[in-house]
Amino acid sequence: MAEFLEMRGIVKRFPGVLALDHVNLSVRKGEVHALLGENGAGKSTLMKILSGAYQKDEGEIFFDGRKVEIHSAQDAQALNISTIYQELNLTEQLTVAENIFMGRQLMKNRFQVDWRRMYDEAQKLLDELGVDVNAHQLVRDLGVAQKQMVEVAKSLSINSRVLIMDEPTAPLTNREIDTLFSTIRMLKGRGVSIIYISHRLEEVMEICDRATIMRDGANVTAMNVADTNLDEIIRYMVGRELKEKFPKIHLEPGPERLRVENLHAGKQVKGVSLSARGGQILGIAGLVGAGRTETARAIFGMDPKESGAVYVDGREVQIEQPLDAIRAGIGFVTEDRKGEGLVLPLPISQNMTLATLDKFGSALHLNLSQEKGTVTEYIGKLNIKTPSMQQLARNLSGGNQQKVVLAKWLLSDSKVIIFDEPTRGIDVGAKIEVYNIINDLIRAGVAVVMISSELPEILGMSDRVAVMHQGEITGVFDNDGTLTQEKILYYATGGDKHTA
Amino acid sequence: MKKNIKIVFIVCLVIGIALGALNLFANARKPHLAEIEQQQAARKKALAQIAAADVLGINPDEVEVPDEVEITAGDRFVMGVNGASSLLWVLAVDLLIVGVGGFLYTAWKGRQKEKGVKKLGSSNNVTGIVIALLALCLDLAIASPVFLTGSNFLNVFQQISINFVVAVGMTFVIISGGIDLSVGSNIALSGLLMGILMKNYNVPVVVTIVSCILFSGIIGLVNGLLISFLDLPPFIATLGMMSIVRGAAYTVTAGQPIYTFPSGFTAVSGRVAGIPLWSTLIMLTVILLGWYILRYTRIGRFTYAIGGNENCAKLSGINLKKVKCFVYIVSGLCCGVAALLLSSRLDSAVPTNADGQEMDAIAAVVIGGTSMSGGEGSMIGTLIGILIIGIIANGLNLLGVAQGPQKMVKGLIIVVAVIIDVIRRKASQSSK
Repeated sequence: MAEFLEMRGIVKRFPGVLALDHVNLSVRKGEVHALLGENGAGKSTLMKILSGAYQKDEGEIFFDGRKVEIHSAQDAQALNISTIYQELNLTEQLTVAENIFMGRQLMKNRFQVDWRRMYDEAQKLLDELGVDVNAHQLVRDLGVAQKQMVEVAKSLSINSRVLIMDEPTAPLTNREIDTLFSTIRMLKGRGVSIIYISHRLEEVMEICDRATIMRDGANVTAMNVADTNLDEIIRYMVGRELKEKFPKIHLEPGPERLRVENLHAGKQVKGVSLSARGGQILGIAGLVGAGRTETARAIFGMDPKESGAVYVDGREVQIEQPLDAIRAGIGFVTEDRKGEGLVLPLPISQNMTLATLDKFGSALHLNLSQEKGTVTEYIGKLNIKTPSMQQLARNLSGGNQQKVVLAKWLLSDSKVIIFDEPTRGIDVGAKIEVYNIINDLIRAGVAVVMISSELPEILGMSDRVAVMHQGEITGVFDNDGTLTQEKILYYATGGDKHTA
Repeated sequence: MKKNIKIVFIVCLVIGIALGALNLFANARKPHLAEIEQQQAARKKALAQIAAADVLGINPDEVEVPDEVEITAGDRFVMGVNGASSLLWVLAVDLLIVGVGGFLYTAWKGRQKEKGVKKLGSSNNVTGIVIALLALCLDLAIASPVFLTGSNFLNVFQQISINFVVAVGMTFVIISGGIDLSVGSNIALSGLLMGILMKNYNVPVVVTIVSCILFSGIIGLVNGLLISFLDLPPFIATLGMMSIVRGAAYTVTAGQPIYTFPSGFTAVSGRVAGIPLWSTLIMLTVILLGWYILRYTRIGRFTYAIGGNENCAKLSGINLKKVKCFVYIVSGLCCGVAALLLSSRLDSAVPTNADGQEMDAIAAVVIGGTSMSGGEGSMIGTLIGILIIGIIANGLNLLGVAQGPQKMVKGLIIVVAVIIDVIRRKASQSSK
């Protein structure tokens, strides 16, 4: 098969950094091509050059046999190259059809939009994709998976020939991922080339034909996915052998540290009861919308709860706001790192100590040198890569940002820490570091509650697993080796209600 | 992009040097011009004598008329240059500063990059405005001989004292992500209350001062309560408060001013050995306290946190309502102090006092590098912002610019400062 899109010897320099060092990428017509590498390997930079957001310093791009220059997003659009970003690019207050035809409204004449035709066309596209979405719906009323499908429909409507997908499955549940994959296969059948960026290697193995692996701004290798295996890919990505993906440790269960009884909050939490022991990880599995995050937020006092009791170390605690939860000894690592986990314009040091400032001096005087000492200690302990503790949080990579959020709660001496998707969007190496931090916590007797959408992670790290479905717990299991992904999925989709 | 900027710097340098040289040249030609002028004067005098002789019927033959001196285009130009000498000097110096500063900055930045130092905390970003302040002072020193005199400094000092105190409070509010438009009205009402208490009810000076400052704090508290408990947008809440309080100020004295306060009160702005000692001490206390609270207390840290990311602040156990009320109370208390300084200096209180004060305070804070979107900023930046605003106003006064254009200039400065803020934020976002 001929190469459809080829990037040859691409060099991109940022002041003081060689971001891309003679990188090659070749994609064939109608293939799904994985672009793999740890965070900071240069994947995004390469894709930004292809989509016209950045200019290359050296190198050539060939498209359909012709040499092309891409200087702007318009140039990329003219070549029918489109991108679906991780942060979806839709206008929430407009309808699905308006979003699909954004900037290219179908017109009756110079001044009148042909609404009827626009909605018809949009609906046709959506039906073709097999998505259960009405073109008249407002985008803000859609779920994440549906929004993503709207993006796909949009790229179909502009006849994309190359479609770049950046972490498309991160916010999706397994069922939604299946739908996405069948869509991808359909696009492939139509001859669309897809560049697929993902940290979830299992998916790459499933959906991709070939893979290009990058490390530190350079090509490592390109290969057929069928001829390789997970371990080999990981080895190429990190440049070293990762012994285990999940460094699970087994400890004697300690006393019960957190008990939640019959918690009701909003529409998404309907009578949840939980129990977590010191020295153990309680995994909470479930599909998106099952109410896992909402449960955690209600426990932590971030959202109001209607009824239910929370006990820490056997004593009932009244939690009206996060401050009460922190005082009771509960920590909460949010899934929304940038939106809730960090104050982006503040330096690392101030982010780390934000929840525990009362440890540093009195209300009338902060002991800055004591703070500095502690922050230095944790930067070293967690291996946070930064030139200075004064570095603003917004300038850190995803993995390092997550470590700062973790440090914030490590500092708090919590008895219970709830992790909501602790490894979302961070690279393989950083994931292991996060797991090791969690291991240190349970060694110290902390009870860890880990919400995750990645079943391998749930199975790889948890001691016990609670499965949620529509705001209720449908099953709690010991992770003794007999628990399988299939069993979890069975309960995540309703469990015994299936038979009832 | 990078190259274009370098070209701009080079152009600045070249034009700056050219203007400087032109000025020097024009200066050197002064004797020549004086000669021409003398000759012209002589000719004029002679012609006048002839005319006079004509009228008187005397024979004008004895009067010797010098030849007409030809004034070349070059001479005319040099005359023009000499006429606008100070303006040209200012331009030349500014361009040189931009050129040299630009090159030094890029060189410095390049070296930082090589060292692998990325952008550090934005609170360190005051260098730029310090340079702007120094350039401004240099310009005015060239343009006006009065600028560098001691009496003018005292003048500037008095002019900025109100804004100084108000801007300290405003810094808290803006860092927390809010805004306080009610400061001007607050000052006016508080000042009138001081007058009423002392003149109509003979309340002792100290009691008056303390109670009125507290009263201003309560106005701030009401702002804070509206914003934190009723979730009103700060802009709307304080806009409403601005009108309510200004209305109250007109109402309490039926629009009448209050004059002549007790001497103990006016002494606050009086001079001790030629120096406005007490007001200086008050200003110093206010800004040092503000600086200390922002940097060394928990609630100061929380102010940054709620401005930078309210959700994260809440999740970290910060009581948002408490912190929001706190910043508006601080702003209110600062207004009370400003009212004290203003009324004691003017020895009167008028309902229209401090009209538009919010603009000056916001301008000072924004020029000082505090981001309007919250979470960033520093007291040192605000201090420099206050000085820049004050010195520009003083300079415009010295140069005889009318009130109208002065207002326009002030507005322009705010817009430019916010544009710089936006550009800087965009740059730091794309660098991640």
